[in-house]
Amino acid sequence: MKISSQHTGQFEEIYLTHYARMKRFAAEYLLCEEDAENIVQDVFMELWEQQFVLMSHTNLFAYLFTATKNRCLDFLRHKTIVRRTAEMLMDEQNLQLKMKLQSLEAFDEKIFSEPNIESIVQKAIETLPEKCRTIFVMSKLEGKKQKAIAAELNLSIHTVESQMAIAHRKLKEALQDYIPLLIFLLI
Amino acid sequence: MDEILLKYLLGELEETEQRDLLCQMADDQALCAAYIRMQNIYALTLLTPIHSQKDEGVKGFNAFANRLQAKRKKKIIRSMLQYAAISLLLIASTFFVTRALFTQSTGVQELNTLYVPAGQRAQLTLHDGTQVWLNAQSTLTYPARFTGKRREVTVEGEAYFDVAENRKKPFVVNTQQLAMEVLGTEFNVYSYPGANCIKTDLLEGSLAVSSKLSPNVKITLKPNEQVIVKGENMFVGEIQNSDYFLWKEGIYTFENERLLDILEKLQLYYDVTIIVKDPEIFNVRYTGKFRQRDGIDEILRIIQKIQKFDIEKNSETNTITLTK
Repeated sequence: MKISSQHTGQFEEIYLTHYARMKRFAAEYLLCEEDAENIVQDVFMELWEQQFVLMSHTNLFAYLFTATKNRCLDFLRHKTIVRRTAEMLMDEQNLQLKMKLQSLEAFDEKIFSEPNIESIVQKAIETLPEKCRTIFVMSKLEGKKQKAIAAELNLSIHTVESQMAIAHRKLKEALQDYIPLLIFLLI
Repeated sequence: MDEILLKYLLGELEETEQRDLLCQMADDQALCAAYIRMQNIYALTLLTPIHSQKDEGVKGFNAFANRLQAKRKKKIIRSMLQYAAISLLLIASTFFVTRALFTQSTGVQELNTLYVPAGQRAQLTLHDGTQVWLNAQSTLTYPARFTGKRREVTVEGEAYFDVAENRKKPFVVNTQQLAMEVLGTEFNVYSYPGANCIKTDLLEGSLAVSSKLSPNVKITLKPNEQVIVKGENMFVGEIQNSDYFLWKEGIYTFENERLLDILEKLQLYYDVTIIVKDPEIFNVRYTGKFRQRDGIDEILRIIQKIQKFDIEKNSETNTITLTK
């Protein structure tokens, strides 16, 4: 499928590099992949229409991230309000979304002005023990279900679960130093 | 605490446990903060690029291209609708403006004609307030509205004008070969095509009379003056009989007038042919007043009382024959 423009090639490259990551990130907070997809498509549509941004932005990642984050925030805010009027306040999904909203609000995109942050995160994943890392990547980055991972790697589901727990703990430790950067101090 | 939070993030908690945790988080600030920290670090790791994302990217890109296409189509349709709407607006406004302008200009050409038949008379008021009385067998042609620099009417027969004053717009009366220009005034025009002369009497104001036959000659009348036009010649004199203008009230007066002239007028007023077998009776002069609605028979009968003559009427040929 061709889109005619002088910057098509450049745009396509940027799209392919960032689409999946942004979508995954959005899906984590929105609890729904379809919503995440729509939002990320909107972000790229906006980027396409404002072509000068392609030229002027040195930190395109930060731009895309901020756009995605803001749209997710709007989405969550709207959704939590709507749900509040339709169902019980203590509704479980509403509470979940509220927590997601709070977390996302606290997520400081300034972390991406740190030039090395992407490599730092990458390195943190790489420091994971092999099996752990494989499972982590398959589960969270490839979106495979735990059952499928267990079957593929010939492990028990319990093993998969515990390995995931280890992965999370280690990552948190590795990135601990960056927590202040990562989170607004709202309290 | 971390254990439970981790389990929650991984979606491993039982439903009841999950609900409890969520309720707890509502009250416990520290628990909230711990969750947020964990959630965000985890989400951060999701932003790492991995190899399989290329396929996902391609899929997404195709969907993106479709969206863009659809958007473009929508835009085209919307701008087409806008153009259509604007075109319609232009067409409609052009239509209305043209109609308004055109209507106004045709107002100048839009002439009304009032014809008064024999034995009758009429009175009307023109758009500017000018009053016009028309005698029998007379025609007045006038515009519905006086647009333009002058107020122009055309008269055939006899008409009495009481012109509304308008210094900016002179009032012009056209009749046969004459043109009369006034500003605000009262005057009488006698201009029957079959008559032997054209007469204009000025009662008030001022009047300028010019003839197409002698265009260099322009006669200006003063009140109580009259002009008689016979062919190329114009004679100015004084008004003889001011009662004469009572015709507009339906009273015909003759003051020491020859029967010849009286008969001529009666012919014109009543659309009848009067044949006089014995011309000697022509020169007798009469003074009198008649009502228009009496009709010609009555009028002739009264005249007959002064000088005897016989009246013979032929309805078929519409002729009255007078013999001594």
